[in-house]
This record gives sequence, structure tokens and C-alpha cells, in this order.
Amino acid sequence: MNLHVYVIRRILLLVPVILGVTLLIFGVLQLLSPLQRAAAFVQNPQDLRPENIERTIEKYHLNDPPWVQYQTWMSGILSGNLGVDRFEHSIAAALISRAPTTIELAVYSSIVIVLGGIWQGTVAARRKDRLPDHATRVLAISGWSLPTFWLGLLLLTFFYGGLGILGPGTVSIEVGEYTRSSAFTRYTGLYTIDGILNGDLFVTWDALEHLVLPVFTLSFVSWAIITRIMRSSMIEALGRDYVKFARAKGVPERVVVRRHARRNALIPVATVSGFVVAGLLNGVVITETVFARPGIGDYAAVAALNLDIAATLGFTLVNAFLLVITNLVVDVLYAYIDPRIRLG
Amino acid sequence: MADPVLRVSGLKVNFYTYDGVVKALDGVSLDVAPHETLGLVGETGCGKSVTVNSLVKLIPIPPGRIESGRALLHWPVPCPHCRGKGCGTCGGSGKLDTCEACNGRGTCSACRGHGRFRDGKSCARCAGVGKCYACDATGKRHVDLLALSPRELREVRGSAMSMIFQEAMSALNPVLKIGEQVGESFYYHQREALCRATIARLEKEIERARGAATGAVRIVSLRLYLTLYRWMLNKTESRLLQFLRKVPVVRRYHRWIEKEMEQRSLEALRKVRIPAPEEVLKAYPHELSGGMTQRVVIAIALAGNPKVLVADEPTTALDVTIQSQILRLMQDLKAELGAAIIFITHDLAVIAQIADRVAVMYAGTIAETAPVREIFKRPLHPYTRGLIGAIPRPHQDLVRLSEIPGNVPNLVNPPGGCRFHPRCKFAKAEVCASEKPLLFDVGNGHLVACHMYDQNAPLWTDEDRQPRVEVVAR
Amino acid sequence: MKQNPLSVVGLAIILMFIGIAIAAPVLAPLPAVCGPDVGIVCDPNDPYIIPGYGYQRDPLPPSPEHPFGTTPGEPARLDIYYGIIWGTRNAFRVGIVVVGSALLIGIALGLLAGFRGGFLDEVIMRIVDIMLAFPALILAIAFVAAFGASLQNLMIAVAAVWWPSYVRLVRGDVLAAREQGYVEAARAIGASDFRIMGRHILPNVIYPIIILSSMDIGAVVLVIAALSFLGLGVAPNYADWGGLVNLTRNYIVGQVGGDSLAYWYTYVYPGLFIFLFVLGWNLLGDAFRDILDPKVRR
Repeated sequence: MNLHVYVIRRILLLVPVILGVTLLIFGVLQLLSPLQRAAAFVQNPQDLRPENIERTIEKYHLNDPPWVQYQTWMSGILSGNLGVDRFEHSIAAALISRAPTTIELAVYSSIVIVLGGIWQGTVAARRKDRLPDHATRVLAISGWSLPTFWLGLLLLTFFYGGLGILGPGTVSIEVGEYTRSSAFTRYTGLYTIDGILNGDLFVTWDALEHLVLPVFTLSFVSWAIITRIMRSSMIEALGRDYVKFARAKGVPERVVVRRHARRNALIPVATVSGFVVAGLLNGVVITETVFARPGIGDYAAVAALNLDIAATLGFTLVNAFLLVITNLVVDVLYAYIDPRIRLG
Repeated sequence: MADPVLRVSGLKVNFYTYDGVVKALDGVSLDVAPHETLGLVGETGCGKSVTVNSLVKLIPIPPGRIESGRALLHWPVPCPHCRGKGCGTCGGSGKLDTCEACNGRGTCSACRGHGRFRDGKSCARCAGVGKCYACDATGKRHVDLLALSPRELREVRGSAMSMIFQEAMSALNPVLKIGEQVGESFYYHQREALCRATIARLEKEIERARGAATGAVRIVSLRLYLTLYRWMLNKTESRLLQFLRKVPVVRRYHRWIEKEMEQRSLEALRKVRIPAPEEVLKAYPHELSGGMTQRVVIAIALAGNPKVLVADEPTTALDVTIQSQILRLMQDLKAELGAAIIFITHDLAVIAQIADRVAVMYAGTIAETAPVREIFKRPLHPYTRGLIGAIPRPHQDLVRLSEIPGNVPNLVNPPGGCRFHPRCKFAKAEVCASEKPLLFDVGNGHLVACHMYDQNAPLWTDEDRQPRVEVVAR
Repeated sequence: MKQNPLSVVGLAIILMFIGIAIAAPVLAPLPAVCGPDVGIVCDPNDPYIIPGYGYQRDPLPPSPEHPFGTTPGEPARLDIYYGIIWGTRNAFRVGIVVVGSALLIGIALGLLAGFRGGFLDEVIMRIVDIMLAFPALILAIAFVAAFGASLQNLMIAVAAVWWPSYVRLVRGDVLAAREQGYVEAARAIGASDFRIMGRHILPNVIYPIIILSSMDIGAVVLVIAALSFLGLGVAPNYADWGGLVNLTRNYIVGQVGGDSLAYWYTYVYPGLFIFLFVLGWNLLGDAFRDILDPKVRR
């Protein structure tokens, strides 16, 4: 079977999974009685009087049979309405406006993680059991033992508290004001790109400055994982017969490593990378909180603290959807790299 | 042997592992004559693969180390002046085949062949013998495989000396198409020829495009490619050219040379009698059968026109019918290309079928070397005698199959002296346990590493030395 | 194992923590007297409540009385040293309980799915796929938002997202073990499915999983610490490492004018212990993995 058919098949398989996810979330919701769920929509404890609760239940259809509620909920979602949060703001609108910040952070981190991990893993594999390998190993194990928030706090204290540079937030205050003025058009919402598109490179520079520490914090753990997998995968590939044969053919070592060993070594790494990138959404919650960046993760953290069920579930839905898409991308990538998979 | 294409002398290889130092090869010496098939036989673990792998440094070097030894390969190169066409320097042959050290004379350049200097001191380089060290007195151009730089080694591998391995399927990269893998040999060894052919093709295309209406743009790009290929002809390893392969539009230039590679790969596949080579080129290794992949591997190995082809148990993993097909193929190809083959196996029947000469290895040493008929009719070394004797003969009335008592020694602590002596019926403690036997010449191209055949060996009778095959009968 | 110095370090670290956990009452005893008159706030019946020393906003720096200093004054200035010592017990409890329950569920379901196969297998694997679409942090947040913030809920939430990966692993091993000869032999003499699963397959499948799950203890502690850091877990004066860091979060980012560098001790120490704890388990698990996987050795 060729690549196209495989992709279509995988997409079709997506549907039941997404359905399952929504059912699961909905199921969790239903575990609470209408009363409890209503209470979540109320801001003031004093308002917890029977009439108010009745009204809230009516308003949000909390007493209808489950399948009706599910229908209303799902149709709402499919039309882009994720409901309102505790403060009666649209969840979808909040998420969309905060998305660019998170995307900026996630994309840069992904690049660092994947490229850095692959490169470092290759180096460690080629210089196996020598200094670079040992150093990488120690670094990697420390990396994934670190609590992300601790690393972030440490870096922030050292650089911002100690040296006064690389502060929290997405951009510094002055630049932030400038971007909100009419002199600056926000095309994408990503400061780094918008800066270039507007011809105001200092905006890009400032944004990059504020990205250094968060990206480092977010990437460190995941980078360690990728490095480790790449290393062992590469060691295995380099020991294979086809590498030996390629060398016996007279292929230059550089090409042997790149074309023969690495391409095969990348196969397991591709799978893990997919999950790691998807898992970034986890880390984003912590990183945005520590570095005070107003993104989706920060929204989720605040929502959880406020016991804002609707908002949290909206976030969960988005996240689950992203993960499922990532799974698909990983599978397709996998099939692209390894022709043996395509045969089913 | 007068003029071997490959002469290995005193190859010593150790592996430094956590469990100790494995003395894998203890001074292995081999000669391979041009165009002959040398069968290298021995039990598993005796060092056959290590020997041939060491020649092109394919053994893992951190645990492994080539302690000493030389491997002289007779390798005339295309004359650099005329590039193979024939000129005064190369005497019209197009090839440069004189030993660089002695300029073809065959005598040691340090002592001028005398063996010692005016002041009486013995010449160290030729150990007083006077022969040219680099070419072993043949006067022809040789390279010492073990002393090559990585770059030179890369040139030898796949072109002067090729290897094929046991499991053909695992020798091919599963994520690359067959065509890409076969083309690789041509790409890295025959770049010049490929470039010239591509340039010729491009020039023809330009001619054709002149006539056509849409010619103009096409001619521009074609001319650009032409310049790039002329550049490649001059500087094969240009980094810039390689970089251009990554640049989106420009990298299409490489397609032209790939077409040439495809042509040659098709021819190579046809030569190994693969049906429907066009489809095989586009296939992946796992889509082919065992016999087909072995043919592909052979095609790759022969692509560079090697002087020596090393086949490391190529038929062991195949069933008998395929095996005989492959063996016949190899013999035919050898006749056509004139390569020498080192055929490693543990199957004496295969040896009998295709070898011209046989070398028997035991525990990291060469026990005996002889023409194939001699080995079977007159095995001299006690180990060989045991091996030949162990072949079951249907017409004999045996109660019990013959065997060699004892076990293959642990190479971390090998036996002293002759490594076979603990299992040898004829071993005499005085000499066999303490001195390692050299390869003694008993005439007829027959060499034995056994003290019994030392000309001054008083401890054995002629009766002992009779090439009687050992058979335990009842 | 001796060839791998890192694993020895890991073992030493874990042993040290075990020692701390056992000796907690000795290393960090509750103050003899509690009450507003002494200026100390504590609960004499529950050693897991960290004693608080006053309500001033600024934390106290390290001193002989408070070896690691105290937190800022909300809800009270809690002794960090005390919190870390008793937090060790908490960490072990959390890690072992969560991983243990995930293991139990995972092994049970994995056995069933792998051995019985068919429809049951499909259903279980679909559920696993769906559950794997949720990263631990997110589901925990959702859980906490729905059911309230408490360590119990956190543990349930994390265990709930952890078992699916075990199911996958166990199922794979069971599928392989199922084809072995001894299974067929047992069937031939009439053994019931449960008996086969329990007596034949389980012992062969269980060791690698258990060993690998030991690494997860560290990972679980990290996740719970992150959740506590976000404020979703424990009550603020409960002895939990992540919770301790949460208390100082605002101070560090400079909202209320705290000088982050000066109050480093408020979060460096708790974080350091989290790091060491997880590091110990990871080093240990890494060594185990090397032993189990001879290809990567040497």
C-alpha cells in the first residue's frame, strides 16, 4: 500500500478516537450532579441560594437527560463554542487570543528539542564510552530528573534577579506598549515573526530575549529524552550489517553515518518526538506560570485554581485534539521514513 | 608463490575486552594468486572472518587492535599522466605498475640489494635479505592495506578489494531502494567515468534542445549543469557541490549523474542474472527473496572491478539449490572479470566444488595451505587430517563417526606453542608445547604449520608423517 | 552493576532518603509547645502539618533554629527544613501508591487483553488509546477542578493516566509469552485460563515491568510536585515539597517586591530535594535498564 492510502486510513481511524475522547470528558462531567456543576458557575458563595441554583441549572440545561446534554455540548463545540468560563467570558475566544504566545514558545522549543536531541545523540553514539558520551549521559539523566518549575525559578533568579536580564513575560514593558499602538500591526500574534513583518527588528530581538529562558526550561527535560533514545538507536544502527557493508563498499564515513545509520536510527526517534512535542503542552502550563507568559497553559493553571470546570474542560478538549493529530502526524512520518511499515 | 595479488604476513590481532585480551589472530600468513579461488576453512570462531575483516579495517577498533602484520595488495593504478589512455610514462598500457620504493628493480632501496652496508652493518629495512620491502621483490606496485590512511583505505574498499557477507538481507539498508544502494558503489569509485558520460549526455541534450522551440530556457539550465559537472570532474570532493545538493532548485543537477548511475546499476544487475532488473532497482530489500538479495550484493561487490573478492560464507544461509546457483554465478563472474576470490566457509563440500587452493585455519593460525586436491588426498596437519577424516563416507562400515577429541581453545588463554597441541595425537611436549610452528614448505605449493614437517625434526617417524586420514573404525 | 558508578550513586541517594524518611520524627521533631503564646502554630496530632513561626511577610533566612529558613508569611512562616524532612515520607508514599496502583491495574488489564485477545483486547486497547491522549498534568487539572484540590485527588488522577502505558507494555510481553510451548502444554492438560495467566505467564512477564516501573516513582513525584506547585494539591502548610515551592512563587517573580536573589533559600532547598530524589530513582532505573538490555552495554 502506498503512502496516500495509509494516510487516509489513519485519518479515518481518528474519528472514533476523538469521539471516545469527548465521551470520556463528558463522562467525567456527568459524574457530578447538576447541583455541583451549577455551583461551579457561581462566583459568590453567598449566591448559593436555591433560586440562583435553579436559574443556573435552567440556563445551562443541566437537568436534561445525558444524551441531550451531550448533543448540545457537542454541537456547541463543533460550531466553535466552547462555552463560557466562570467569569462569563468565552472560553474559545480566550484560548484563541492566547494561542500565539504558546505556539511561539512551543515551536521554538520543539526545534531545539528535536534538532538538539538528534545531534547530541549522534555525537554520543559516535564517541561511545568516551568523554562526550559520559557527559551527555550525566546531563541527560539530570535533565529528566529536574522539576521544570525549579529549573525555571533558578534561571529566573540567576539571570533576572541576579543579572537583571532576560526577564519574565513575553516582551518588555516598553516594547509591549509599542506593539499595542497603531504603529504596529499584529499579523500572526507571534512577536518574533511580527517584528520581522513590520520591519521592527528590535521587537523580534526583545521577544527572542524573553524566549531564551522559557525555551531552555521547557526543552531541557524533553531534550534529554530525545538524546537518550537517539543515542541508543544510533548505537544499534551503527552495529548493523548494512553499515558494515556500506563501509566495505568504500562509502565515506560521513555518508555512512548520515545516510545509512542515521536514517534508520531516526525511526524510533520520530515516534518519541511526536509524543514529546505533544507533551510540551504539559510543560507549557508550568513554564508559562513561572515566566508569567499569558498563554494557554497559564490560562489552564489559573482556571484550575479557580475550580473553573468549564474552562479546564475546554482546554482539555483542545489538548486531546492536538494529541490525536500529533499521533497521526507521527504515524505518517513513521511510514514515510520506513517503507516496511507501508505494507500494512 | 611468485606473484601473489595479495600477500598477508604475520597478521596479529588482539581484542581488548572486559573479560581479558582475546588473542584472535596469532601471526596469520596467506598468499592469494591472481585469478584463483582460495578457500578459507575452519570451525566457527577460528578467526576466518577476523582475518579478512582486518584487511580492510572493518573490525571494531576500540576493542580490537591490529598489533602487527602486513597485507600487500598488488594494485596497479591508472597512470596519472594519461589517465589510462596510454603514454610514455606508463609505456602505453595506461597503468602504472611499478613499485614506488624500488622503482621496479625489486631490490631494497636502502642497501641497494646487498643486504648490508659498507661498514658491515646489516640493513634493517630488508633484514639483510636485500629484497625490496614494499613489493616483496616483485617490482610491481603494492600497497600495504594495514598501513593505509583512512582516505586511501576508502578508495581500496569496494574497488580493489570487495566483500560480501553471509546474510545478504541484512547487508542491505532496509530504508533505501536497491537502485540507490547499487548506484553508491559507482558513485564513489567511478565518479570520473560517470562525470564524463554525463557531460557527453548533457552535450547531446543541448544539441537537441537547440532544435526544439522551448529550447532557450532549457539550454540555460543544461549549460549550468554542464559547468557543474566539469567542476565535479576536476574536484570530486568539492564541499560546495555537495552543499548544492541541498539547495531546492539547483539540486536537480544531480539527477543527470543519477541517470548514469542507473544505467550502470541496471547493467550490473543484468550481469548477475537478475530478471526484470528495472523493477528490482525500484524495490526495497525486504521485497526480494534471499537468493535475489545475494545476487544484488554480489552485483554491488563486483561493481568496482575488484582484484580480490572476499566472500564470507555467502551461501551458508541459503538452501542448497540456491546455493549451487550462486556458486556457479560466482565462478562465471570470476572467469569474466578475472578477480581472485577468498571464499570463507566451514562446509568442505563447497570448498571441493569451487576452490583452487585451500587454507585451513585453527584458533587464529593457519594450519595448512595446499591445492584443493592435495588437501583432500594428502592432508598433512593433524587437524586437517581430523577434519577430512570426519567427513562421513557412505560406503564405509563405521560404528561411530570420527571426531577430533577436545574443544576449541579459549583465545584469552590459548595453549602455548602450537595452539592445537592439547588435542593432537602426535604432539611431543618438548617442542609442541613451547614453540609455535612456522609454515613449512613440503613442495607442490603445500605448506604445513606443524613441527612434524620441519626438515630437522627427529622426534617423529616417517610413519607418523604419512598423510593417512584418521578414521576411528570398529 | 559495579561497573556503573552512577548506579551506585543512585542507590546511595535512595538509601539516604529512606533513612531520612524513617528517622523523620528524630530529625525534625514537632516543637514541644504550640500555641499563640509561643508564637508557633502547629498541630500536635499531625506531624505532617509544618509548624509556622509568625505571620510577617518576609521569610526568615537560614539559621540554627531554621536550618533552611522559612517561607514567606502566608499562611504562616513555615519551617522549610521540617517540611523537607517530613516531605520525604510523603514523596515515598505518593510515588509508591500511585505507581503501585497503576501497576496493578495495568498488569491485570494487560494480561487480560494480551491473553484473551479478540474483542476484549480491542476494547481495552481503544480505551488505552483514548486515555493516552491525555497527558497526566492536564487530566489532573481537570480532575482537581471537578473534584476539588487535595493530595488524594491528585494521586487518583495521576494513577488514572499512568496505567495505560503499563497495559501496553504488559500486553506486548504477554503476546510473546502466549506463543511459548509451555502455555500449549498447560492447556493440553486442561488448565483454566486464569490458572495459565497466573501461574505461567505472569511470572515471566512481571520482572521487567516492575523494574522499569521503579523509574516511574521518580517521574510520578515530579508530576505531583508540579501540580502542587500550581497550587492544586495540598493545603499550604502540608509537608509536601512542591507545595513549599508554590508558597514562594509570587515572591520570586517579583510581584510584591521580594528580592528574588535574597530569598533563594525558599525554593532552592525544596527543589533540590525533589531533584535528588528523582535523580536517585532515575540512576537506579537507568542501571537496571542497562542490565536488561545487553545491546547497549559496553
